[in-house]
Amino acid sequence: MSNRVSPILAAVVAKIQGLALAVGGVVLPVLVRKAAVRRDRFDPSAMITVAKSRELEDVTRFSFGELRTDYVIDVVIHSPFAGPDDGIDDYAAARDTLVDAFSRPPLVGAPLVFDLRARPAAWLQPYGEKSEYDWQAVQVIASVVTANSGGGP
Amino acid sequence: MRFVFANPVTVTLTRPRTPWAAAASITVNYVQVQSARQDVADDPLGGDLDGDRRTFRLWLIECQGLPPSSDYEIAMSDGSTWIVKQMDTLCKGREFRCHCMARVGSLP
Repeated sequence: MSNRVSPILAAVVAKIQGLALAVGGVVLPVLVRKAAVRRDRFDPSAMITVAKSRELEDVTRFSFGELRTDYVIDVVIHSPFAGPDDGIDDYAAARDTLVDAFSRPPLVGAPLVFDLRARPAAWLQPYGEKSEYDWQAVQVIASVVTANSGGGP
Repeated sequence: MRFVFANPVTVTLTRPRTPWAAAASITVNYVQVQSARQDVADDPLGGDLDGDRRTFRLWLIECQGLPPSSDYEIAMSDGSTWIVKQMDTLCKGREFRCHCMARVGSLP
């Protein structure tokens, strides 16, 4: 049995928690989710979700003995839309801090990860004016090399 | 006409502050409120963001010179705040139907 994604997600969460990203002076909780979901009446108004992306991982056979897998992790910052005149300092700081933090290995807690990249995704969506959310995203690409066991032990 | 609706409510209508104008609020009586509908407001990278939608009907004569518009806020007595996202002008300008979305975190 192999499960390489869960430790990567946990390591990404731990690293983001260490960054203590804040919007409006409030440090955002970081949650692992199946997808970037925020439920009204269940979840904090502002938070960060970490989820394996719908974008499929890229699997490459390195040699007969090894597989390289590039996992895409969606990091989404959710916060309430507070109008078009809001300052963007918190949003910009969170975005650039994430890019800086995930642009090189190691990823503590996920020793299999030998390469780490950050790919900025959606910036504050203009939909905020229609959806009452400010959200933005950064994608983390974590690469691992594992033995090509063919599913055996 | 506005006196015959069942269960009218009183709300606070607020024009938000802008860089060039202060916020303004009025109390609006005889507002007809439709049932709320919970819906998906957005789908960040394939996820879901919940949103509650509701429609309010306001009479111009009750709006005291501050007719509603997009991005105005409607506050109800239960503490919920609704943001006007779309507006229909009815009865030749005498009534407004405001399609709103709940402010995140404001629902009781």
